[in-house]
Amino acid sequence: MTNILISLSDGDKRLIFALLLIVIIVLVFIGLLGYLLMRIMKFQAKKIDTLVHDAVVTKVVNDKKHFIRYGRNKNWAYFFKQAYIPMIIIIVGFIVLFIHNAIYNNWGYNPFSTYDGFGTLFFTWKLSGEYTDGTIIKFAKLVLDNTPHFDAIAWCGYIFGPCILVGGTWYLVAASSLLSRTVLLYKRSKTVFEKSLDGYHQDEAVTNNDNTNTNN
Amino acid sequence: MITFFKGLLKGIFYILFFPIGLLGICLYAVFGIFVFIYRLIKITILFFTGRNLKTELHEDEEVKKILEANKEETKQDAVEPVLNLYPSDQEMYNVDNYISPTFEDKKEEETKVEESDNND
Repeated sequence: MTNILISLSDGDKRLIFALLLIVIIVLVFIGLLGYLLMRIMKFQAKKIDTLVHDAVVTKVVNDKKHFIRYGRNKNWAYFFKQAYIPMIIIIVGFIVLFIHNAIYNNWGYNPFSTYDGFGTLFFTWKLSGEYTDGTIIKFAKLVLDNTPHFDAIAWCGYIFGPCILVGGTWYLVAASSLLSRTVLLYKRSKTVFEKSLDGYHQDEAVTNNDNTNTNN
Repeated sequence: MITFFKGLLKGIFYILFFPIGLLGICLYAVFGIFVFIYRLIKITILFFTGRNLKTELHEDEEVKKILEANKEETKQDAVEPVLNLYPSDQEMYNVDNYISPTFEDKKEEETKVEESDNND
């Protein structure tokens, strides 16, 4: 049996400790973010109560299947109201991209490129062939590839990029809202028309009715 | 400290299930595109046939009729006067020749009630 001894320099120990700390902080941050997202989805889901309340209270809808069918229609109608603006933004972005490709006859154009697209507005790095000097962990050296700058030739990317980012994020929020409302709708369908016999005793009910009759 | 570790565990849980959750939302977003197209076609047809978009479902029409009927009933109840069989002193004060009882009168009544109780 061979024993493997690993000797760590002070620099390596500090690096490992810092990495562990960063991982823990990132995990806690993601936990809080996930909790926030769940709370937002629960808040969005409550809208279904407002949409179906009147029909249930006035007893126009009075069974589970009818409730689900009616709730689904109202849910989809509300989703359309939420999603039509981001869809218009996305469609405008694609129309601009189509016009650009038609003008320059370049159907392989990448609107997020760092040379003639939306990527010209960001810092980007690329991997070099060299590595850092470390005993255990060696990192590949990164080289700055692009610094933010405006380029007139990238006009299509400057329109398409924000349209897709804004419209896409907005649409995903509307879609997650649709999903949360659907989940709550199915939960409500089980409880709203539920009848319970907990604590009900038929003999006692009959006896109470007899007493009231004799008193009258 | 416990909440910190709870946050840490939640973070690990969300990292593991985040891809699945995101895939679910993306699939639902794709389904939403079909829902959007369906609703667009339906609204276009409703618009050109002259139907009201707010009461497109027959359940909404029935709910509207019931709520309007309830409103009319509450309006009628508000219009009819309520008969007050037990007017307060303030209302009696407005009646002619009304003299409100004084402190002495009230004390006399109380002593009379006590005497009748003692006799019993």
